[in-house]
Amino acid sequence: MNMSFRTDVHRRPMPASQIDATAPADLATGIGLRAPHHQAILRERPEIGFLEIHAENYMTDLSVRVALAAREIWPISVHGVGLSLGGAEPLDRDHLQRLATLVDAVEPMLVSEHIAWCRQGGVYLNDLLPLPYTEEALDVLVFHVDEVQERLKCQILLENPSTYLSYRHSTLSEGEFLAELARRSGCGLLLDVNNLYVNQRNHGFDSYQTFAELDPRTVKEIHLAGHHVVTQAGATILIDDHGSPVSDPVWSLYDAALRRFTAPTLIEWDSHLPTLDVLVAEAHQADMRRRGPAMSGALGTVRGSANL
Amino acid sequence: MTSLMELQRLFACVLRDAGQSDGCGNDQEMLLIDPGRGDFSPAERLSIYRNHHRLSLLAALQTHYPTVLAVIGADAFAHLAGDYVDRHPPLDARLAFYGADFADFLDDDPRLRALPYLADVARFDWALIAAQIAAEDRSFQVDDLAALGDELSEARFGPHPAARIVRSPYPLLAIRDLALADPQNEASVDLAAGGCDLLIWRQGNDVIWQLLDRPALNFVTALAAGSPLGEALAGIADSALSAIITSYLVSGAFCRAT
Repeated sequence: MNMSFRTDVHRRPMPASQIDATAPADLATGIGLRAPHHQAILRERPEIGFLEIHAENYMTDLSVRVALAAREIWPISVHGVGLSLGGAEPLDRDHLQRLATLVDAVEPMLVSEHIAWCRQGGVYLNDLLPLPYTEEALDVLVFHVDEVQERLKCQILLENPSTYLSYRHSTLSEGEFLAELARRSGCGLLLDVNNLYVNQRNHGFDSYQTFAELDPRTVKEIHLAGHHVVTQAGATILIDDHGSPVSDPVWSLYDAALRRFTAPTLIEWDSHLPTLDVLVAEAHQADMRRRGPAMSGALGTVRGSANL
Repeated sequence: MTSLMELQRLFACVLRDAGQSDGCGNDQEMLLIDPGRGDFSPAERLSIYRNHHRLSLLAALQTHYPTVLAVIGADAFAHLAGDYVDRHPPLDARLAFYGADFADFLDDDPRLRALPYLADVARFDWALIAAQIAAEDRSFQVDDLAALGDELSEARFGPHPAARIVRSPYPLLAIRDLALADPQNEASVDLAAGGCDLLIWRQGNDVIWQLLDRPALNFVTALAAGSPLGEALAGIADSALSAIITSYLVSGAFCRAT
């Protein structure tokens, strides 16, 4: 496999059109733009730093129009779920072209995707499926991330997944896998704190060890979301359904993450979608926590402190 | 050790198999799933993914086919949709495009012989979705008429990408109204009441439809087939000309052919 080691890909500068007087000055906390909120958000213009759109939901002319209307007010982050970057088969070039068209149209502040696969034999499985943490999977991801960054002409961020199974032949910890992916491909990382917590509970992964394994400079965005706790015959598994408020343990883990990482935070909510004000209140909660320990977090980063 | 390619092939097979992967021809042991603390078996862990796969695609079909769902009920719909998911998995990452050929699938299902109108109901449902996801194009507007001048009768047009004609021997609008009405409503639809011809298209962000009478149907189909405007209007009574042009030619359903 043709491997390359890129460190020269940089986030494209935010276009001047996005930095206007109506935009909030603080880009720290955002929420997802979901179809049921389209009218309310443009009408109410809540105080939030940015909006995230799921790329695959904004690949028609009508939906792009909504994203462009929102972009007049807030910076947009484009979050893809369909590229199957961890898939062993080649990327869907048509889909990559659609993503490039969307990115050209909305000129996002960030572009992100997942450490997962979702396509096999040309069939989309409509889920973010787990990868083994092996050198082989890392090679595949690096190769595909490289292709996407070349095509989009910008750095992308890769998100750590939530998983319900792990593989016996994994040779790297999740943190090592993420760190190595960023180092080899030049991508940034989207640290989903809820996913870390879900994996901690489901597999016994150590979230604090993951924090320590990541270079703080590579973490460019943080995700927060709610999860669902399923108990069956006394055993518990956490399902990452983005259908409830951020849980207390995840807020605590977020506080810990803020001592090491400085990055804009996004509240994700996809199922059982609440009214817009509930979502905005979650974002403000994240903002308050970020403002509280943020100073020490920033200083810790400057000093290169890995203490958690 | 299982290669990533082989692992994903087997994983996808297990995921898409409604049974317990018997049809995958391979041992699930090759997936090398970690038994972890032993609280959930590898099969139970896989079933989380299998359920999400099926339920998320079922939800997409429910969203795209609300009238079919209302006509046959959730259980029968889940059954049919499950079979459809097995045989017609998504080949596009955009879920909004999933299920385009569900009507043809229903046409072919021998279990639905007692509901011969169901596939047409599905065609109408899909036409409403197709109109939403279709690409934008500049439609022919009333101001464009004057600019054409003498060339008007020779001008050719094509349907806007969002425009669809649905023709059915069944009263689709009455079926839809009844299916989506309050379930307490005791009304019924007379299936022998006659069929309908519908034009579905988009105006701005709104999807709309119009019942076509015979002259309107002739005009719209002739125009969509590429006939010059003068020819498409040939059978229209003088008294109806202006209404036909206003309602169809300059209503957003057609684009000037290039």
